[in-house]
Amino acid sequence: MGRVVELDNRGLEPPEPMMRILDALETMGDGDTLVARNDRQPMFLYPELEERGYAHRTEPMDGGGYRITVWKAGKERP
Amino acid sequence: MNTLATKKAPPVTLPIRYIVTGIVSYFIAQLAMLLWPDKLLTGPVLRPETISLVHLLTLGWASMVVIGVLYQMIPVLLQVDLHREDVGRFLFWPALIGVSTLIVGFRIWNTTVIATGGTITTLSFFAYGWNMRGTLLNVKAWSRQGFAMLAGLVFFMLTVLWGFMMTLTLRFGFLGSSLGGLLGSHIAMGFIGWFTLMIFGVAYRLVPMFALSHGFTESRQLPAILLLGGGTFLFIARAFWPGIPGWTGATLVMVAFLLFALDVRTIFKHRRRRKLELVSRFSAASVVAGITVFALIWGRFLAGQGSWLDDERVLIAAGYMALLGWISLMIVGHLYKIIPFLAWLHRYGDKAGKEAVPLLRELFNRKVSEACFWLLVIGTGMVFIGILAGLGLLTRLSLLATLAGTLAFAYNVWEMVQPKEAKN
Repeated sequence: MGRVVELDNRGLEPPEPMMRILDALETMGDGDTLVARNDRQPMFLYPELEERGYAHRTEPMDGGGYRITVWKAGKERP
Repeated sequence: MNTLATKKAPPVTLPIRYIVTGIVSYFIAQLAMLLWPDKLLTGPVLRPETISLVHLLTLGWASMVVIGVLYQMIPVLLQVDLHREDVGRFLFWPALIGVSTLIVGFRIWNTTVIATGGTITTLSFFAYGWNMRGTLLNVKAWSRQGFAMLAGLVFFMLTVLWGFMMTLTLRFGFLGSSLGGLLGSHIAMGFIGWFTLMIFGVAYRLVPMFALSHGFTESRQLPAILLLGGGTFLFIARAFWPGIPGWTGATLVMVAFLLFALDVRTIFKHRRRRKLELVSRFSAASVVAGITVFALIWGRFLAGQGSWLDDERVLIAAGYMALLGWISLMIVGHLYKIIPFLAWLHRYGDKAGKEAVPLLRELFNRKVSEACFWLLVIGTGMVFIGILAGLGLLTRLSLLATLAGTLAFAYNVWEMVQPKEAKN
């Protein structure tokens, strides 16, 4: 089981949340997982994740915002 | 739960009907220009064919696409629900009928048909404005970009109102001989207030998003937006107070555009995406076309009447560059990003992240999009030079190139909306 990297993007304006997520992914190992909290669903991020070979999941959080979990496709689902 | 269809944005069928209508109009306009006799390319400007073509491009192409894109983008960019999605869906039909009637009316120059088309167009666009007003009233956090979009929509309504008064005057003559003053401000409102201001607002948001750019200075954005709006306002004021010199508005607009151009350059310099995508290259070409147009307008008002810049040929070349260069290249470029994105989200949004889905760039043919880019960009530049220099053959050949570029674009749009298999 790899590391879990947490990222709080609440209060940031696009495209910063998306860029922070893409930046964080570059520093992560194959088994690591990224968990980001965003105010909005990062619609433009999803195609970028597909392109880079990541699987992902988006869940609405209590009290507003979304939790986006990203991991390398083919690895174990966190 | 992993549904990517945000509840804010409407289903794809709402924007796509406006966008497809726009692309069909764009193609017809390119074809019409190619089939035109040479004399139309040298003036006079105000004749039925030109007026018809200009409205095919401004209403049938650019306005239709912008309306469709705004239905999609305003909920996403300003975090607000559409006031009445069903009204937006319905309004497409009267808008289509009104705009088509108006364009045919101009072409055959029948004032009854023009006034009828003008009335239906006005009613449907005002209803669109009412729908957008209801939507924007719910916006909680206003940004500079949102403000520019709002101002653009207000100018759109004014442009339509001015046009409506002109069509009624043509038919019933109720404004007498003041048509000339109305026409100048109608053009300024539509071209600068509606399209250019709206492009500023949308581009300030989307260009950094698509180029993955962050950390650039945003201090010039508000001055650019205010100067552009102020310049448009001065042009409108000239209709009521002809004593206001034209160079005042033209100067504000020129400065605003240079600030915008500088901003686009800065955004590109701060980009993370190494390779410039198609949308960014189209945007750059569009901005170069825009600088050319606004410099010509500025020079024309500084030099005054009777200068070489006042020549009909220069006017037509500038008008061509404004509509087919600045506005069209910006729209085509952004549609290369927006349509695949809408189609991708619509077809694969729910599967993405769980199973293999096609990539965004696999939704269209890259060789065709490269050909499309060069044919449109080089072709448009050469048509501009051809008109300016009075070279009929060059103009015709270049118009053929832009028509081929438009066909390539239409083919790729067709590809984008087709279902695809995942390759990985």
